[in-house]
Amino acid sequence: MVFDDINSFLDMGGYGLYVWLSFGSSALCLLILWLDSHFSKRRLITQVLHEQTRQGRIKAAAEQSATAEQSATAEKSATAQQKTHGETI
Amino acid sequence: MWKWLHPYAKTERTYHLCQRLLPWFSLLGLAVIILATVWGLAFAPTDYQQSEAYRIIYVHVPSAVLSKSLYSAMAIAAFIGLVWQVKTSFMAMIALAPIGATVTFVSLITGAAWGKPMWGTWWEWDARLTSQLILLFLFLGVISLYKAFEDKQQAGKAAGVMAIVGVINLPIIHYSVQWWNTLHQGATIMKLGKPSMPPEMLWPLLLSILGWALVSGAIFLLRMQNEILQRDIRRPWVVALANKSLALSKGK
Repeated sequence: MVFDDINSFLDMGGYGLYVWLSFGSSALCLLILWLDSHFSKRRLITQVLHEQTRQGRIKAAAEQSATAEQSATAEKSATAQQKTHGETI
Repeated sequence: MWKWLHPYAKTERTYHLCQRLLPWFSLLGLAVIILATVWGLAFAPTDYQQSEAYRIIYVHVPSAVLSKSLYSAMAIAAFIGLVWQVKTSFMAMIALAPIGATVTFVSLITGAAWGKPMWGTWWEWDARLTSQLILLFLFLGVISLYKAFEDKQQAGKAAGVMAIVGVINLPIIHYSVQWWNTLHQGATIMKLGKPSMPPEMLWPLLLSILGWALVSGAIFLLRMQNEILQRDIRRPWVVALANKSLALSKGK
């Protein structure tokens, strides 16, 4: 270590402001870039999961409405049959 | 070689390759960068002319070297994408661009912080500084051009052409200190013959360049994965992967 104590280390021979500004801004920029890359990966994966549950909901809703329609048409034809029965009798 | 390279045109293979390499680059990069920074800040000898201010070199030179290397890498990726129509190549290009922009920005900031005590000014419209600023604009141009297109293959082509045209700036940056009268000092390591620096100062500098390169590599791997996920977001393998990571995080 070329410095005697922590104060002279922080002072950097009078150039402390410039030296620490450089090292600080470098660390900050790299850190922001790393965090952004890391969290966008996470965000993408949750997006995939959301899309999956959404697709599942759409499929379930489509199936439900299809069966509902089927039963509705079945009911209709049943009542129609009853009616015709009623008329013929 | 083509037979060996070909599988990596497939996004899934590339994603898993990135995943395997990521921990090595991250841990090694972090270790080397911390070692080099501590060495450069506290243990490297004081400069007889610039006293302690010269220590800025341990962030300024790595970021400046990396800015040019990353630009070259981005342009090579763009070239491969344009000529052989490899779609992962454009993804590599756009994964590299923000990293390049960041290190170029860092080189300008640290350069300003070094210029103020040594030249008495934060900024000067001098050849080296101006050409480096243009490099930053080229990176930003590639990013925004890529974002401007909805169709990502089209976007890759347009941004790729821009990246390749911008290569002309690299020799201008490198030789600017020789071609023009400039405030910026000449080359210290990247020149023919012996570097004009004692080994106690040179070693931490070389290590810090290596550390910055490894950390940039790690961030590149992450961003490359993000590009692949984004592009393949509806593909079954991505859905399976997301479910696996969900199961892993629940298991913890």
